[in-house]
Amino acid sequence: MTNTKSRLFDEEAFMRNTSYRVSQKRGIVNGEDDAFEKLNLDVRVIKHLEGRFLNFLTGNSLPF
Amino acid sequence: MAENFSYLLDKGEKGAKRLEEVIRLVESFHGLSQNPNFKKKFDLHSLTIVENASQKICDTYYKNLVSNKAVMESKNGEATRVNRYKIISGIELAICEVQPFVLNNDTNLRIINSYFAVFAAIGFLLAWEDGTDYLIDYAFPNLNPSEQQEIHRLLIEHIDWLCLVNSNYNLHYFSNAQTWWALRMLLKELNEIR
Repeated sequence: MTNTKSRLFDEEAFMRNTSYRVSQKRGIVNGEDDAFEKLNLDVRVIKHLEGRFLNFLTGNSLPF
Repeated sequence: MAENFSYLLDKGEKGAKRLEEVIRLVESFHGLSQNPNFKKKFDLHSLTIVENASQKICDTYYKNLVSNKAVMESKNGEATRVNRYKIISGIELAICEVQPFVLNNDTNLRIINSYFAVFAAIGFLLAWEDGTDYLIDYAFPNLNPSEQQEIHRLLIEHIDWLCLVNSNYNLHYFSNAQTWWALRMLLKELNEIR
């Protein structure tokens, strides 16, 4: 008989540990701190977004 | 009674930066609404921004984050984390709660605000540095029309869903974050593999 218990994967613990390692590696404390450092919503992004989004609104093109 | 935006103010310089970003997005979307094609699509005469719209969005975002974080509390006391997809999800839901734009007719009110939520979400996604990688620099040269149409349809379905969302129900927050996570992975694959 298959021992189902031993096959159970503790996803929550895995994600917590993985997240911790990634955070340590990149120097990330949490996503809000990450956003403060890495989110650069500058003029270039806004202009790009405006052009693509208008085409997305009026046709089948993608807004990215 | 004046609103104090206490959740936003508590965030200090991080809150100030988030507010700047949201103001930029609100103004940009409002600018787009002057375009004849935009007006035609929504049968729109004029689009007005509610008072303190950006402050309301940010304050609502941080207020909701408190209750969402409570759900994320780990059992062993480890600090909870909010990744970029949860931030995007939270911003979308805050926009749906605030409804920052008002129209000359209410028929398309939720639709336009839902479009704005996606506009803001994509802005965050495009502008997020991932090493040396920005989504704004991705290209999809070999994306065929059928694939393009399918992703387009996915976004329209997402906008339809946003039209129905009217609360910060925790499941919405997490499920919506997963939608953006999956979409980001799909776009990364389409950019890199082909």
